[in-house]
Amino acid sequence: MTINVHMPQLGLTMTEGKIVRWLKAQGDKVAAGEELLEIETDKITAQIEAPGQGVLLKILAGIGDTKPVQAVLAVIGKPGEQIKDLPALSDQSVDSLQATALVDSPPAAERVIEGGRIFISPAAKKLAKEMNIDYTLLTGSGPGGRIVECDIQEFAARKSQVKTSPLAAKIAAEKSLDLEGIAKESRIMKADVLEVLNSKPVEFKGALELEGTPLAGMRKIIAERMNMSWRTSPHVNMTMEVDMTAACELKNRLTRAANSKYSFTEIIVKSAAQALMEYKEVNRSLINDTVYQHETANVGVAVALDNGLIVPVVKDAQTKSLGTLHNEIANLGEKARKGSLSPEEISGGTFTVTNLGMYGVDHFTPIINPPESAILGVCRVVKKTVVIDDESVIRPMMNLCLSFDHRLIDGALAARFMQKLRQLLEEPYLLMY
Amino acid sequence: MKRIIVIGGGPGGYVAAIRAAQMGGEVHLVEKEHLGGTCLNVGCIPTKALLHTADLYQAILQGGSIGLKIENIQLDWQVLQRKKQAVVTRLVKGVDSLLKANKVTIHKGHAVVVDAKTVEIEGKPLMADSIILALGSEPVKLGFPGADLPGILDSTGALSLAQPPASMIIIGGGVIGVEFAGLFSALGCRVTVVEMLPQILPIMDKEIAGDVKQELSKNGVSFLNEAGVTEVRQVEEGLTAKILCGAKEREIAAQYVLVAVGRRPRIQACGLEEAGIRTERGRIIVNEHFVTSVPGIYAIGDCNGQIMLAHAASAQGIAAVEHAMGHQPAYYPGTIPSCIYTNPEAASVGLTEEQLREQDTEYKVGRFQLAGNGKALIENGGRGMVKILSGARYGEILGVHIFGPRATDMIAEAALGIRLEATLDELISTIHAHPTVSEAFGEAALDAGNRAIHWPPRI
Repeated sequence: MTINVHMPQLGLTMTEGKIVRWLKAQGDKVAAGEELLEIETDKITAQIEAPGQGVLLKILAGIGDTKPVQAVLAVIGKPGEQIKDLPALSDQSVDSLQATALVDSPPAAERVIEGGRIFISPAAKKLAKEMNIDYTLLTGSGPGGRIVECDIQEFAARKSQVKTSPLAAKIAAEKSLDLEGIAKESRIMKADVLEVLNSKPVEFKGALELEGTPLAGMRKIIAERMNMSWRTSPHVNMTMEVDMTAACELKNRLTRAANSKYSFTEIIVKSAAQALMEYKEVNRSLINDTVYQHETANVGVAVALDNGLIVPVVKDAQTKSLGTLHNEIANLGEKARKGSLSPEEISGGTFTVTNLGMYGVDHFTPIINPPESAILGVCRVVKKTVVIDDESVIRPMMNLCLSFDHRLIDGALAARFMQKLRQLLEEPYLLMY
Repeated sequence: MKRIIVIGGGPGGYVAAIRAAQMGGEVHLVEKEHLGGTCLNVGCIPTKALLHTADLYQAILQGGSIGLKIENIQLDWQVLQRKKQAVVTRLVKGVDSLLKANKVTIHKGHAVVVDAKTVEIEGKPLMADSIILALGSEPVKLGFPGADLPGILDSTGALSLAQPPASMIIIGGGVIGVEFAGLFSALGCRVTVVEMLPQILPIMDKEIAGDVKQELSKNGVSFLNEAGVTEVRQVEEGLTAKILCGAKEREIAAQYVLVAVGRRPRIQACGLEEAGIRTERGRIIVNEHFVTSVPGIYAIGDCNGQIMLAHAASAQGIAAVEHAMGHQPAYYPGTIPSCIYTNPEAASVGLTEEQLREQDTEYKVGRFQLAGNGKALIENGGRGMVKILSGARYGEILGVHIFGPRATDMIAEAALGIRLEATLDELISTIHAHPTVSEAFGEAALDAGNRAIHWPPRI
């Protein structure tokens, strides 16, 4: 059997080394431990010793070549010995081999690179095909991890002995556990698989070995949009406290009159829509350096779902009565929770309202829903002591948190918009105006 | 050669003895009464022998609809009792031959444990490397006034009545009580079952227990739940029992009162205490290898009170001697089936829905009513069902409960499935012969995914 000379790992961070010079020539006799070549890394220069004795049958890397750690640099063996399973010569610079008399070495026999990273000798590949073995599961014992014939044979022998219960197989498949690693003579059962899973050491390569699920579906979309919005629009947050006394009164009266539970959402949506009609500059989109002015207020109402959120849009909200808004928002909300919103219903928004008041939130900084330029966060209504006409009174107060895109909307504009919004909420009869 | 002494020749003891001999031990078995123990002599075998005739009797009585016209069918009780005894005797002789064929030395007499290495058989000491206690159990006696009257039976007495009984009160709605209720009601006896708990067969799956009760009720058995007998008196016509049912008291007359409230280990006068073998509430304490508090002494079967079933005793006996002989024993109690020889039969293995809920295990149910099974329809009009409980995530079989013809045989497939950690997929992909009752197995597995072929889809 031939002996390979590998690029050593000198230091934890070393990934490759450069051949500086060969101290022996192809065809020379070498003794075990004798220095063969000199390499250098970005940190050190070192001599590599021969791992065994014999004749230096083949040099596979020339002066100046950079090779990764573990790459085969040379092959030592008996004179005239066949070199099997050599790594491809195509990625070795044959031209720059040191010019000395080349011994008539046997042709770099079978060396095949199979798609990607799997190295397997043709003999092994043929055997694997005959035995119907998927060799991609194997690590080879040949040079550079190449799969050789005896690997296939050994695997075949082992495979016929490894039995698993159907349950153990299912668990292992789910956890991507290689059952080959379980040394057991009798059938592998659930307990064996669980034992291996629970005893897997945690490798601190910077991350814990946790079971991960690929980001997919709604979560993926939300992640992408939030990221894009955050990166693209410079967000500024503005908070204003609103006296909701009149709005509460309105809500209660509407509830009684319509015999249906009204919420602040429809009142806020209508107020926002009306404010947007007055402060048109807030109702804009900036797309590819072009400003688009919306002529209507399509107000999105964020709905929380089990694993994410979705924003159905109330079109032309400024034209709709509170009753219409109430029904439409309820309907959209239910569709959202059932997952039956149409594409039409979740597109075309020009402004978004997102309400976390029911969770008792007092302030938050929502992320703008692109390509809109602003988003209104609604917080809880809470009775507070406020000073009105120099007197302490108790009023139901609510914070509104506006996040706006400062590329399009300046602070003063945003503030005036918010003032209008507050006015409409505190004097809701203006909604009929 | 290791010397093993097995005390007790029932299904626990004689099986342990044969296994120990197979592994090269020098085995001595001590039995003070009959080989075969309770099971062969006054338990499993005689009850099933009587039940077989009772089932056939009923089948013929009702055979008009399947074309059997038999006038004047009679039950010859004496012939039946003799046949029952003949079966028992044959099996007992069989055990004797098996033991002898395996070169086990059989000692007749009473054994007392002296210490970890010594047993006294009828006073004569015998040394051992390991001792296996297979002492068995006896029926629990109750102490109500009148409990000693003639006519108060235990299971042993109930098997050897001189004549089939005309009426009987059975105290205890467990497996034994229910089987006797089935047996005697099939022979024309008026049976009342008195059970302390809210339902009969309390450890069985509730659905199956309900089905069993319904069948027995159809055949005229009365049930009193949450009830207990407080007193029995002798009257001219026989016995009369006072039964406290909740807050109400009633009196029921019967020819016999059968006490079938359970069995307890029979461990008296064996020298256990002196030898340092610890017991708790009348049961011998053992570890997972069935070793008692004295290393070298094992206790298997009914005397450790774990699972009072003959096949459990045999399996435990094997595990104990394998351990004693230095081998790795294989004992899988999760695969122990329980069988009830009612008509139709009931059988189960694994966990019940109640147990799974207690464990907070997520499970799926697959059911198949035997009304949809051709063979069952032929055999008994399609009465019965197969229920499979499987893990919600992987579909592994957690429990199987069967009510119907051949349940006690069919349960073996389920036990094997649990042993091999089979999932629903394997049950479904194993082809069951047609027409058999076992087809219901695959269909019940399909039903777990609401895709049974031979039953309309659930809404």
